[in-house]
Amino acid sequence: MKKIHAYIFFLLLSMSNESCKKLVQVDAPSSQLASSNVYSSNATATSVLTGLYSNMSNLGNARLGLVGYLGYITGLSADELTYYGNSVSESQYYSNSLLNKTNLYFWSEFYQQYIYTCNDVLTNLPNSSVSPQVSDQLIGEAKFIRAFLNFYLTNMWGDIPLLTSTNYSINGVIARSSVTQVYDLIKQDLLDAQRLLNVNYVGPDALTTSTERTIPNQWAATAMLARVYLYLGDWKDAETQATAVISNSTVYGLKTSLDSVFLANNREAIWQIQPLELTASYDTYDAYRYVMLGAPGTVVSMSPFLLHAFEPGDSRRTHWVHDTVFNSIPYSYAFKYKIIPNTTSRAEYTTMLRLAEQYLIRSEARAQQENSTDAIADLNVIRARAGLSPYAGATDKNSILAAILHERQVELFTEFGHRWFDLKRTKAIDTVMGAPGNVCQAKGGTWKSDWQLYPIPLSEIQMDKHLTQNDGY
Amino acid sequence: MFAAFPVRFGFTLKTRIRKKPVYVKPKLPLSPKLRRVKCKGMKFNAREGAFTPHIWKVMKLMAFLLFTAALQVSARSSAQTITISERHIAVGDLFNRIKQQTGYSFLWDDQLLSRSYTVSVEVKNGTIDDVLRQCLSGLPLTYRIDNAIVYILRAGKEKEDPTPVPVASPPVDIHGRVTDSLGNPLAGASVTVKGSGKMVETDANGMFVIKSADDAATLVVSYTGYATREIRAEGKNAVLVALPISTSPLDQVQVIAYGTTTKRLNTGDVTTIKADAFERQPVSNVLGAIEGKVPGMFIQQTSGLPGTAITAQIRGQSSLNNGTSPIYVVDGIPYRPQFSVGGPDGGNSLSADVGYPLDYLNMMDIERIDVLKDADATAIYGSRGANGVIMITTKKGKPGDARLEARFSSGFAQKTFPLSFLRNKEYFQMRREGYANDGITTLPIDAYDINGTWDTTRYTDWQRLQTGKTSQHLDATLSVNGGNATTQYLISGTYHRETLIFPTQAFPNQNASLHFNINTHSLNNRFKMSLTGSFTGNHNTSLQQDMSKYSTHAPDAPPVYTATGALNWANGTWSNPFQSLYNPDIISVSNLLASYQLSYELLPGLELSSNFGYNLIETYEHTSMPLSSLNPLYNPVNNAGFAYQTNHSYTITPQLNYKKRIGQSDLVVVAGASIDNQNINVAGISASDYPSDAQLQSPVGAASTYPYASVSAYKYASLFGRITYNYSDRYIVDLTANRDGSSKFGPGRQFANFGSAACTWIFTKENWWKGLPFLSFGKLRGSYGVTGNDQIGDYRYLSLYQAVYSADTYQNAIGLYPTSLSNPDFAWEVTRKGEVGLELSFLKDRINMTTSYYLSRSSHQLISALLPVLVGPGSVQVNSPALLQNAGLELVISSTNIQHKDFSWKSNFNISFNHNKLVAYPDFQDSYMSIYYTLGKPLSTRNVFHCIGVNDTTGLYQFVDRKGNRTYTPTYTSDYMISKVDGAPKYYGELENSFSYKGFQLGFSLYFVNQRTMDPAVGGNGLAGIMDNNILTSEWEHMWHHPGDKARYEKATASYGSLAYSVTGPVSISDYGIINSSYIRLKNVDLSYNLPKRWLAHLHMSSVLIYIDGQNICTFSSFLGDPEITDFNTTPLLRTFVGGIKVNL
Repeated sequence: MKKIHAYIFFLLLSMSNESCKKLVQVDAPSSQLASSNVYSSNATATSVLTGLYSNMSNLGNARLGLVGYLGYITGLSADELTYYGNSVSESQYYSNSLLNKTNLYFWSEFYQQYIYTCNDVLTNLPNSSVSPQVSDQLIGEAKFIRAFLNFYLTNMWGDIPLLTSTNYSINGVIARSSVTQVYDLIKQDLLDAQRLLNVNYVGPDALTTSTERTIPNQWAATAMLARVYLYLGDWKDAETQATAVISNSTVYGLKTSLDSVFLANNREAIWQIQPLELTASYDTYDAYRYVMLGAPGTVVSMSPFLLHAFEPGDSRRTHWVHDTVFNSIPYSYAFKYKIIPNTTSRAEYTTMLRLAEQYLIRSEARAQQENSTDAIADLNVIRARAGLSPYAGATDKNSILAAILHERQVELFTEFGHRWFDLKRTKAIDTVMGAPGNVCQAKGGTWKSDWQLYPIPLSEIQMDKHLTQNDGY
Repeated sequence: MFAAFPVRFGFTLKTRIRKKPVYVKPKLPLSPKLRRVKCKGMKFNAREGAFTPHIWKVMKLMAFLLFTAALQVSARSSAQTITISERHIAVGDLFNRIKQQTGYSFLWDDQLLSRSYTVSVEVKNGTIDDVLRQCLSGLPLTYRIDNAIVYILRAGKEKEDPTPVPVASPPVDIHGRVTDSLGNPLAGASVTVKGSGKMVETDANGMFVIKSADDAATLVVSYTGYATREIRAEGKNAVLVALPISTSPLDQVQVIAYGTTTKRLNTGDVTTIKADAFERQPVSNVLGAIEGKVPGMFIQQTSGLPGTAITAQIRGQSSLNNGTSPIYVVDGIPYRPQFSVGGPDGGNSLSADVGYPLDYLNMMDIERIDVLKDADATAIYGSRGANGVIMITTKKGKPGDARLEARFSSGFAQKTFPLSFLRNKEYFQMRREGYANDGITTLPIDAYDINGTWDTTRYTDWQRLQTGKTSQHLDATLSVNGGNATTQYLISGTYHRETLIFPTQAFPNQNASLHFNINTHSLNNRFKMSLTGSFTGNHNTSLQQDMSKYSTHAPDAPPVYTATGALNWANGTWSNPFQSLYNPDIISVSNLLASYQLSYELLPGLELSSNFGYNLIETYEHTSMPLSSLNPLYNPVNNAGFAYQTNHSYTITPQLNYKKRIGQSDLVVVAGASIDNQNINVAGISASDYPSDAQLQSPVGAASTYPYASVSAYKYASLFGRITYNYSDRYIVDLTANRDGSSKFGPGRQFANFGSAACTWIFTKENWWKGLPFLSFGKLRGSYGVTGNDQIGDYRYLSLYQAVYSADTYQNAIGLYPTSLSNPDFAWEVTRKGEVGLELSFLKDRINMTTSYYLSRSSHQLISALLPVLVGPGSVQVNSPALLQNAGLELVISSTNIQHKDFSWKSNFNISFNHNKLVAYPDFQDSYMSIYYTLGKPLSTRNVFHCIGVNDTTGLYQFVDRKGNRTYTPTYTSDYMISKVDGAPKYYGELENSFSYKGFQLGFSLYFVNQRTMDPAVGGNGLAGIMDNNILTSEWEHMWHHPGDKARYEKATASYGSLAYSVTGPVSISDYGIINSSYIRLKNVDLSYNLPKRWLAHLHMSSVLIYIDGQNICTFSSFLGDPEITDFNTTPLLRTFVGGIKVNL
């Protein structure tokens, strides 16, 4: 018996816990990479950011997401577009009658993919074996993207869940943070990004200098920071940051030809996203959305409010707007992006940030600081490029601000929600949308001030009991 | 003492059997120790050193029986010749030499050879007799050969009268040997001296010695699976006992985890199905053949087409949304054929998910199936035992001369449950009613069937045209099996071919397999080896669509082919159903399954063994859609899909077995470990736009391709132990424990402990049990234990990234993006099982009854967490706090109703009840769970709308909303969940009867299920009035036609926008139209005839069996279609008949 005990003991010993653990350890599948392996080398770590831009640019995400859809949806909500389609959710955006069960556009995409990815980068990179130079650039990009997305989230939803971790047990029960807290993080992220990002544009390896403006650099962070300060009413800082970008004239300058503003890597572009879908019949999703061929997908035209906003002689009306007739009915559509059908040219990139906005930011910041001369000077740079005579209106602050708001409307239309957000931050929204016989009614709805914020998706509130709904939904 | 050498089974004995035994004239007086032994039917007079003539007859008969199978070939098999040339060799050494050359064992009393005899022998190619005669000629010894054992005896006076046996002699040692009726030694048989409690076990050669026994003692010899015999020693010191195989079902061997036992002594709940119960059934998956035969196991076939889904669930659903399938263990190796190729066709093919359990295991190679259910039986599989364990044992070689078995069968199958669809007149009337009901007075341009576009005088019975073919079956098996006492082999090959019931003969399903087994053990029987393997090649050709779904085409629809033989598209007015015939889905699967078992007896009773298993399944799937099969009107592109998958796994299971007899009790200890690795690689390409259809066989040449790939690895390790303590076959306690680890869990969560305790009381063994003499056996057993479940996807605990798929790259670099969240915290799903069972046998085990009641509760349910999407990509696996219960009762009665010499009648009956319940869930009402489930109700309970039938004025289905008002438009947000329906079967079971009269045998089985189903005419098919949506005549007769009709089905509608159409959504998930779809199916009838032996003698055949077997012969149910499929769009189970012949040489 003793011998037997010895044998059994030996058997058990040989199967001790440590060796047992090895027996059930598996490597991550080679068709996929485990998070821990991803951040072990420069090559894979940089691929994560490449993947992020790829997904932003890819069919599916992009068609209904940040790159191809955000400007469109906010344009429907605002006074920029006339809608002819029959999509239930798009109709609700259009008539400002959203339900809490309407589609999760942007919400799931931003949080589930992009912010999660940024947080994974920010969690894993600092302690990784990735080289410092690459690491800095990548952390900078992740912070920049996170700030960029949080900016849009808070402008669409107000108070939002502020995610800084990838831990589902924290994120799954998270409550909303106030807009102030959100902006604090945005500012912090952008300042960090400004410090960490390469001053030059880099390639996807995060090291070599590139002529492609498809990966954010220090100036993208600066430009975004200028916008954020503007939204926060921090006029001085807004002016400083915008000036920094504008004065970097070796890299940036306004294109004189309006037809060149959205071309790939033009001098006006601060950050662009390269389209990925070669087989599609257009270069950019903007072209897909707005160019009216009478084909499916072109279900909007420019609204009469926007069309009437152009001053006579504004060459943007002729270069960035195209008139057409279908069934004897005239339509005008946004024609900033022109290439359709596609010739796999990649001549146009979706422009995320461009210099013209920086002039308008600085102009507004200066106006707010009672520096009307410089404000008008900046405004006139934009007007001149559009073939318009210099601003000749009243020089009091409010008049200039009104002129700038108008200029922003006709310069930045259908671009990334500028109009919708401008209306909200300048508190003009209730007047524009809600006044009797005004925009909202014309679109078939009845305005309520609560509707300047979108509803938090109902299922999110059901899953996370700490989330609250916006008023009015 | 007996010195013993292992026995080798000899072929040549027959040539050695003579009319009289050979023995050398005895010269020396008999040892006083040699006594006479009397035992029933066989006498061995040791004093005479030989058999009496009477006994000799018996021996001859035995020898005859023994080698009946071998008669033909034995003449050819080489005689055991010996060549030996030795001078002055010790007799013992000589015997050793002979043993080495022949395998014969030698048996002698040590006292006989106490003097060291030396002999000289010179024999060349002589027989064993030549050698023994020569060597023993000068010695006071003689010999006798029996069953390859050479008994060395003291030479004596043959004719001398036996010395009177002393009446009360001093205690003696009784020597003996226990064999089966074929003479194979039975190792580990127990020999008890009656009344004294003294007990020994036989050694590896079946030998035993009882020291200091009363020479008048009665020995009780028993061995698992064999009838127990009593023998009076009566003054013999050499006892030979042959045990016949027990005929009692209680002694049937049962395969359990890491061992075997008998039904009599099993502490767990195991159902055993042997090959004869299924091997003649014409089904392609063995699960289809054992449906109904295992109480508590519910088997679900989802289609009558070969290669489609068939699943088994043991004792209800014990997991919320993860694997509820049992684990399959083939020859001790976990077998995981469940995988999905994830075909390029997007899963719309008939067999997109190939690899249903056992599809790729040839049924002909299966010897037996043991289904393990309760905690005691399954807990040692720990982590994997929660859903039950199905142990499959394949056929093994058996000793004897080479035996050839050939089987051939052929038959046909046809679709069952023909449905009666409307013919032209009623169909047109239905269509017109549809338009009239929608207020459409002018027939639209696309109403081709009634507006004159199609020839309304045409009539096609689409059902018959598309699924009316007879499927041809062909099966052939050839197997050879044989061997001697130490080495046995089996080789078997099978071919199966089956065509489809669709109008094409182009796509037969073919299946060929090779199975082999070699067993051997060393002469001293301490080392054993067994190698078993099978290779199956399966070529399953099917279509991407089940053509049954097109039976509803308009009866006046155009002809399928044009005059030139091309598919007729009728100017784009219809979708030609014959298109499917040109869209094949071909799946080729190669399955290699090998199991290698080694064991070595380290010490008496202590055996070290290991099982090595390897399984490789390679799958290739090819789908194609040629241009010629597509309607040219829509500018189609041809396309093809290619998918390759390899799935290889290995298992190593070392284990130590220890057996010890302590007084009247037996102790069996098993300790071991199991390592299990599985790797799956998938790669595929979707290709489209080829210049020519001829290129569809390869991805090369396609204008557009899309590759995909995935790999996954699974590892599993387990330490297990079991202690079985059996006191006098009366009280048995069984304890198991194991510690299991699975790679599906994150670090720190991989391992968990499982275990069980069971006890059994065979109360009829109690001495005081005299009360009920008709009760021959009574056993009460109970078990409780903890098992687990890890049937979730691999890598769920890891945060994974994968490459962005795009036709283009971002700045010429490939991106990665995260696809899953990391959660290292989830752990094993746990099921606690309790069971009590009562097993009774009456009238000498002729009637056997088993009743089991079980209750199991599953907790830590592995589910995908219900989280807001903002947390990140993918889902998070968590352990849900839901508590799930399954409770049920199973009853099995088997009886031999009549048992005469020529006629017998046996019956088997079983019935199972299972009740599933969601017992607890914290904050249930506020949780998402409440949308899907109901607390306190079965998981199969669905929340539905409450429908009160058809409004007799409007002809529309009417619902009741939450406030109690009638409505046609109930909403999902408020009016759903008002009513509940449960579709789980209430009970199911089977009655089997078998009769035999002389050579004839007739068996049939009736399978029954009590269940409820949604009437398909209400649920899925209720769109009467729309083109190409023909309905059944029964629906037509009960549908609303005019105001005032008290109808069961609503009015016809021809428009998808109508209210009549919109109510079909909610009604299909309502409590309306739930009908009783219970059924009794005559599942199998088998008639066979064994040709009389005397006919076969001169054909040199040992047996010939001819048979006819029918499957799914008829079904009694009020349900119109197949009540097992409950869907009119799917091919029902086919009615199959085969006739065959089985020849044994």
